[in-house]
Amino acid sequence: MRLREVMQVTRARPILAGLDLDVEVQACFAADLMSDALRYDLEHALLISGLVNPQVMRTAEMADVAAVLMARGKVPTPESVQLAEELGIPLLGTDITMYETCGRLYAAGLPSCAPHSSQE
Amino acid sequence: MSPTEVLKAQELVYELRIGDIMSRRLVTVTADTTMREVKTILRDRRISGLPVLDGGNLAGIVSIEDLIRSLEENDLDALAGQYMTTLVHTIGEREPAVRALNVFGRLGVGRLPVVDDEGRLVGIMTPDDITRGVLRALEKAYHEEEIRRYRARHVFDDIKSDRTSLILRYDIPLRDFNRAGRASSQIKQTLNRLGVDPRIVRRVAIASYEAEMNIVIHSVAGGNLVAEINPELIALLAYDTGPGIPDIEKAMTPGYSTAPDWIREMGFGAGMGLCNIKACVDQMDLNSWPRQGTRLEAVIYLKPTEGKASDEAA
Amino acid sequence: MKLHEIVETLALTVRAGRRSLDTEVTGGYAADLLSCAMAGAEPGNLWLTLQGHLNVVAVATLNELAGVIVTEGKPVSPDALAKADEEGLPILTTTLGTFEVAGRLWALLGATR
Repeated sequence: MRLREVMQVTRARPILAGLDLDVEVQACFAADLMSDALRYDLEHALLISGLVNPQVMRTAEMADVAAVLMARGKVPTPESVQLAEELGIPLLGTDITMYETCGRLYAAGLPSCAPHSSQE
Repeated sequence: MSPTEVLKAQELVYELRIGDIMSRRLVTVTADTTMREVKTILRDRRISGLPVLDGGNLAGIVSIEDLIRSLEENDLDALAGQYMTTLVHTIGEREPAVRALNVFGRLGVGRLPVVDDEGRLVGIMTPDDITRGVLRALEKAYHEEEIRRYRARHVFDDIKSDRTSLILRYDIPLRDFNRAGRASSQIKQTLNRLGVDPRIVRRVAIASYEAEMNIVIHSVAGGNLVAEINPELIALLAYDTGPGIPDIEKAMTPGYSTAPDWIREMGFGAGMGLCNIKACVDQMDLNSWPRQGTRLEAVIYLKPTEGKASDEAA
Repeated sequence: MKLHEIVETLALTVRAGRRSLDTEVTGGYAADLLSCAMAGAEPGNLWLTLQGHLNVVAVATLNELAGVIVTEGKPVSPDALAKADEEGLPILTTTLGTFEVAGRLWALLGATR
């Protein structure tokens, strides 16, 4: 699913201008706690979170995610936005809850990210 | 063009000077050149306008439009001075290209004479020159970047020693959640720069980030992260000066955490990530001494044949 | 929909509060930050979280939630389980991730919140 469809489905808006809306999102992962996110294979995934600090972007960077979607109308800190810009990671925001965001994207056919089966 | 290239092009319009992109092959006429001669020059040189000089100074511009007027009047023997446009906008050679873009847009003219600081005519500028100049500069920037990448990828080829390695050292401050992850980010960028396989880069980045966050969250005074890169492997070393892990076996259990609530509210500490580090690396060695500190060493081989396949993934 | 129907359909493991599975579930709420759940989860909601410690029980009881689903196979601390049993708060676990549980629950409950 392309980012533009993700935005339609979740009523999301870009937090950073100049997004490439044709970026392909292949799966989703949702969490506020980043501790365990890296256990999952997040390459090309949409990371859904309500955590506003820069560690969301750091996690996104380490795992090569496709985009980050802030749910519950959470506003990322200026440090987060700056980091997203530096790293070139698309950053979106929606006012609907994380639960509803997941529900809508799941209904639209996006699968869940799987844990790394092996690190190879 | 990708969005970043578009941004780069926009930047270049501000950075490039008129003098860098104007045409310096000046063909000029004087006020007493006949329009017939003007017609021949425009045709032969395939240009659309000519600066007209009067005693060395810019007196005007004679263009195809002016030539058409003289043709309509059947007046080809008239002098350029009669048909030229005299209210001529000029632009300084040291001004940015974006100035020319603005003038072209505002006045709708097709060419602008370029003058130096003393007002002497030094070149001429058309909208095409801007496009060409920007494209040329983009290409040059791309080539320079390619060369830098090539050099980075071959850095180990040029250095002669029995064992060469690159060592990156980072100081990890305690509980600075805005800067936390900076070291791992820079390690990742360096490895990408060196042309390491992206899958290996990701494993190193994840292991290094987990180790870095453990220092940020759990140490008493911050700690250090060191990455050693050589042609065979990448070795990570993370160490701090306390408090030490009381029970390493327990700490290796997924989800086990000693983090207080406020750290959890920051989005961390739901597990120590130690099993995740173990799953990402080929070798891991964890030592801890109560009240003295913790030392984690991990190795990831760059060539698959040299490392055991990691089958202990989470 | 009753909580026990959800437990069956999503194959959740009941870890505490077995006697309160007859509750009507009004919707779902996913959050790992206690402050968010405190502010956003509504009475009768089923709370999806990675957190399995004692304070989760406190927040869930205060907000009169229908129950808590601890996702990703995360451990639940023994004191949290004991307290939940005492309060009659169902604690359910699954190895599925939050995204998938939320997706399936949303499909089951329809477009409530």
